[in-house]
Amino acid sequence: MATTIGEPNAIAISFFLAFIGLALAIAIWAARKTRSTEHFYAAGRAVTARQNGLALAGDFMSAAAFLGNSGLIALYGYDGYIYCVGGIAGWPIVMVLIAEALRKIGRYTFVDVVAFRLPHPSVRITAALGSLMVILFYLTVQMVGAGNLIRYLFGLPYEFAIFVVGLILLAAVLLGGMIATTWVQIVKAVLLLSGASVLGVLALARFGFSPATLFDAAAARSSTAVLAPGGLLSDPIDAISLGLGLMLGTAGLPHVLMRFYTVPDAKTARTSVAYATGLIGFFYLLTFVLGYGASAIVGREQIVAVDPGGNMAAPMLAELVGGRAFMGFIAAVAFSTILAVVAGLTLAGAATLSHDLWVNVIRKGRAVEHEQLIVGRIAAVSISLLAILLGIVFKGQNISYMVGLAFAAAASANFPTLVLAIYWDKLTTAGAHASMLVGTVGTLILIVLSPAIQIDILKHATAPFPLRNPALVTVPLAFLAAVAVSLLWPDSQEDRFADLQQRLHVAAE
Amino acid sequence: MSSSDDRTRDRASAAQSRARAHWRVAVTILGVNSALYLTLIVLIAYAKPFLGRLIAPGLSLAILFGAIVTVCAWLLTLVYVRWANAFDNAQGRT
Repeated sequence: MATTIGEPNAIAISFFLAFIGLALAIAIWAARKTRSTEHFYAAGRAVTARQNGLALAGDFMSAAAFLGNSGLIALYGYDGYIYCVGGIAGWPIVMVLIAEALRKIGRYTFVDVVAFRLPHPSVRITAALGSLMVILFYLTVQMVGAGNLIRYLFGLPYEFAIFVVGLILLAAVLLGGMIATTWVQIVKAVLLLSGASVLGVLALARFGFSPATLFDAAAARSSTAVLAPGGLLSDPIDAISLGLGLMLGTAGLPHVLMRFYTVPDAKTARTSVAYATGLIGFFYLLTFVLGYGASAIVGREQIVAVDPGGNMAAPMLAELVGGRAFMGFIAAVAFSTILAVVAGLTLAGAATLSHDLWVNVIRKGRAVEHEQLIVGRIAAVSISLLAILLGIVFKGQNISYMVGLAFAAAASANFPTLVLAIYWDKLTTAGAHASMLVGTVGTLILIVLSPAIQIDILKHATAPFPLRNPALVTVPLAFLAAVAVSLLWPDSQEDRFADLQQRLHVAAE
Repeated sequence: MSSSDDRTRDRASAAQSRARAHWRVAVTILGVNSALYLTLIVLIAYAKPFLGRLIAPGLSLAILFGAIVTVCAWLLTLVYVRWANAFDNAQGRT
């Protein structure tokens, strides 16, 4: 059966419009409830554990996770799953080391926690810049993904798609802040999990509902090598570097960390992580079925013929097992996935610009509520416009690879300082600066010197730095910089550490 | 000594005892999680043929191990929630 992907599909566009309508309705409904910064950035701290679990899963499961990873498994076999298992392995770290600490110590951003421990304003500036780097990296990935996918899924032009995504997310974030963003995430997570589950069941139905029989069929259609690693990542050190970056980067993503402020207390925060991890784990296991299912039912040649990156594997599978209408639904689900992640990132960026930099650094914490809300909304507009611009500038970049880099940036720039600020009594202001600068600048420099830029883009014969993902070097360097500088130039902040520990381990009376 | 000093001292000692208990649980959970995940990643890097062995038609060790790491990550978060809720309830905290 010939695919109709890439042609304007009335059913797909109807679902697409329905989701836009729903997102706008949520935004208008949430606008009426958004009266303070606590509503705008933290949804009034009234989100339940189950809701936050779904919203966390929604924030984390990007289009790259749905379309990218299943496509990688379909084309390259097992290696596509590394992106999944790396992400899930980061969640116990979020649970054990970070979720409660954020809820008990911070206010709106993870930078709050670092700034509580090390109150010098310069720390907040450096932490905010690291956070913004990660947000912009990830935002670029999502926007490029959005443009490409809408072009393939709905037959609409790339730039038009970027503008549509930018404007809808702007409306959602501007009007409804975190309340709208949370509900968009919840709707998206439910759509994504149910859509992918139905797709998985329809694919499994062709193989007697046996995953192993489906995997065997995928191997029979190409080779048993697809069931083993090695199809995508041939360099072992690069595979380890990517694995480390994915695991630790999960615990440093600003838009995910921000969600812990939306719940009423630490107990709800940790319960929500358990929900999120279960949902994400289930979804990732489904990715095996979707990826190998596409390989077995659609065939690699057909998938590559539509998109060389393999991103259309899941929608093509949907068309073959469920017909055109179901493919339209899956396409709309993919679109909702992007929109929700972009909304979460935009809000995290707005919080960093307005709460961290404007309110706490420039206005030294003296901004009144009304001013904070106005600056927050101006920041949201700025980030949305930047997102549109980045989406157009970086058109054509490889999405899954860039996701790996965004995680490496989060793992190097944010994670070491956040963990050391909470758990190491000897961390100093200079140590935190050193760590964040080494993490941020080191990541950027090593990416520029990597084969991905030097060989693939600039067409040089060799690259000065051999790894495509820098996390294996930059994460240890960021930790080392913090420890070395703190020990060489001690600067007692132990009373702040004791305060932080007291807040973390003793409930307010 | 005033009762307010006593209360401050009690709070500090309660914080220290939870910090120690938290650290033990954290090291255990993160140790198991990292051991499983890093073993998989190192095997992916250096033992591709081993992971490619089929234990049933269509089911390779790589797929089985990947699924185990995924499910264990979730189970470990449940273990932590159970510990933290039980510990905090025992301490009479919300």
